[in-house]
Amino acid sequence: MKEVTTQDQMTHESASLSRRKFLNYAGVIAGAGLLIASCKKDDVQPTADDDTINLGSNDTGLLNYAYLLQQLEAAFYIQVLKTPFSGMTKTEEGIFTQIRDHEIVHREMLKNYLGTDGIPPALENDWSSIDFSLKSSVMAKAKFFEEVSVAGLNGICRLVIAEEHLVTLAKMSVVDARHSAVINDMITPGTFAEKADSNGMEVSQDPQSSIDITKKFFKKTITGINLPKY
Amino acid sequence: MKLTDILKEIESIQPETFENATGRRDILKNLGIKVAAIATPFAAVSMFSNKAAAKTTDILAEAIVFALGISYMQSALYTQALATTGLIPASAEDGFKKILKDKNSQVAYWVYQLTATGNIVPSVPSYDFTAKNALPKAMTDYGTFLTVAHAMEDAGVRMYLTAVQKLITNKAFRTDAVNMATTNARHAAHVRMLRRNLGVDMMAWVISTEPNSIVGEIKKAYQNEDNTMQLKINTVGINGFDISFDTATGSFDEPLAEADAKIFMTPFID
Repeated sequence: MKEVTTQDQMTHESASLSRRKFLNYAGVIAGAGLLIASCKKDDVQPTADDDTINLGSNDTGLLNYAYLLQQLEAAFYIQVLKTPFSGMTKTEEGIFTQIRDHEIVHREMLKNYLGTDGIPPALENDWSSIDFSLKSSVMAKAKFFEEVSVAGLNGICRLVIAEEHLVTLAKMSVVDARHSAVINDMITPGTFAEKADSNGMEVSQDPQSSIDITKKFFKKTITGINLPKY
Repeated sequence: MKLTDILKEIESIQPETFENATGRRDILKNLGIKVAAIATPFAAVSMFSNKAAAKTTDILAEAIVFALGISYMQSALYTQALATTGLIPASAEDGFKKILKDKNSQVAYWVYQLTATGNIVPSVPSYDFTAKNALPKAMTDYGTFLTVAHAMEDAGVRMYLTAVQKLITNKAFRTDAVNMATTNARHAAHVRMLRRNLGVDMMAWVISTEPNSIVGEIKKAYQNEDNTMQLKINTVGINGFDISFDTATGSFDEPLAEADAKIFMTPFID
C-alpha cells in the first residue's frame, strides 16, 4: 500500500458507488435495522454541510462514533508513514504499516456498512499537537489513540442494541488492544497491559467523555449529543 | 491451582472493588435460584455444560462458566510456568507475572459473581500442558511453552468474544466480558511478540488460521479465524485499497465456537 493518499482520494470519489452497493443489500440484511433506526423521530441526521458533525443517535450514532475513531487512527498512521520520524527502523515501519492497514479495514468496513447514514469520510484532522518528525511525539500519540480507541469501543459495546453490532465492535476492539499492547511495549517494555484494573479489566469509557478527548483532533466540531448514554 | 487458592485471591481483593457489581447481583439473583435448583455439578467435563444441562441452565451463568474455563486454564499455565525453574528467562518474568495477576483477578471476579448469586462455582481441573504428550516439551522448552501460551491466549480472546455475545442481555456483564477480552488481547499480543523475538515470523495479531504453530487438536484455537466477511462486507481489497487476505483476517479476531473451544481445551485437561 504505497499510494495511500491516492487511494484515499479514489475511494472518496467512488463513495457514491459504495453507497449504492451498500443499499443493494441493506434492505435484505443487517442494514435493515439501521434503516429502521434512522426513521425514528428522535434521530438526528449527521450534517455534512456545516462545521458541526452530529454523530446521530441509536446504534447508528454509536457506529458513527466507532467510525470516527477508526478514521482518526487510520489518518494518524497514514501520516506517520508519509512523513516518518528520523531513525524509524524497518521493524517499526513494518509494525506501523500493518496497524495502518488494519485501521483502514476498520474504517472502510464501517463506511460501507453505514452508507448514507455515515458521517462524511476523510474528515480533516488537526494535528497541531503532534510533531511527526519526532519519535517521542509520534509514539506518545500512537499510545494515546490506541488506548482511546479501545476504551471508546468498549464503551460503545456497552450501549449498542443489535447483536451483530456488539460482536463486530468487540472483534475490532480486541485487535486495537493488540496494537495498543505492542505500542506500549515499544515505548516501555512490560507496559502492554498497564490499562488493566484490579479486576483484570480494561477501563472502558462512555461516549460523551471519550468524544471530549477525541474531538480536538478534528477541524470540524464533533457532537455526540444524541448518542445513547451510560 | 486449587479452588481454595482462588478463594484466597478473592479475600485479598478489597471489598469495594465489587461495590459497583450490585446491579449484576440483582439480575443474577433471580436466575441464581433456578440454577441452584438444578444443582448440576460443574465437574471439569461439564465446564462446557452438556446438552441436557444447557437447556435448563441460565445462559448468563453458562456464559460466565464458559469464560471461566479458559481463565482457570491460563491461570494454571502461568502459575506452573513461573514455578518451573529455568523455563521463563529472567527478562520475561515480570511480563508473565503481570499476565498471571490479571488472570487471577479475572477468575476471582467471576467466582465472586457466581458465588454472590447462588450459582455453583466450577471446580478447577488438573491440567496437563503437554496435551497428553503431544507437546512433550511444553513446560521444559521456552519456545514450546510460548506456543502453548499464545494458543491459549488467542483462544482466550476468542472465547471471551463468544461470552460477550452470550451476555448481550446484561449490559454490565457484557461490558465486563468486553473489558476482559481486550485485556486478554493485550496479553496475547505480548506473548506473540516474545515468540517473534525468538525468530518466529509472526506478529501480535492473528493472521488466518495461524500456520506458524501448532499441532493436532490445539489447532482448533484458530478454527474459523480466517474469516474476512464483517457485517456481510468482504474486507479483502475493500473499496479498492490494497488489503490482502492476511491483513483482512488480522483486522478482526473471531469468536470461538463452543464446540471448537472444547476440542481445543480437552487435551490439556487431565
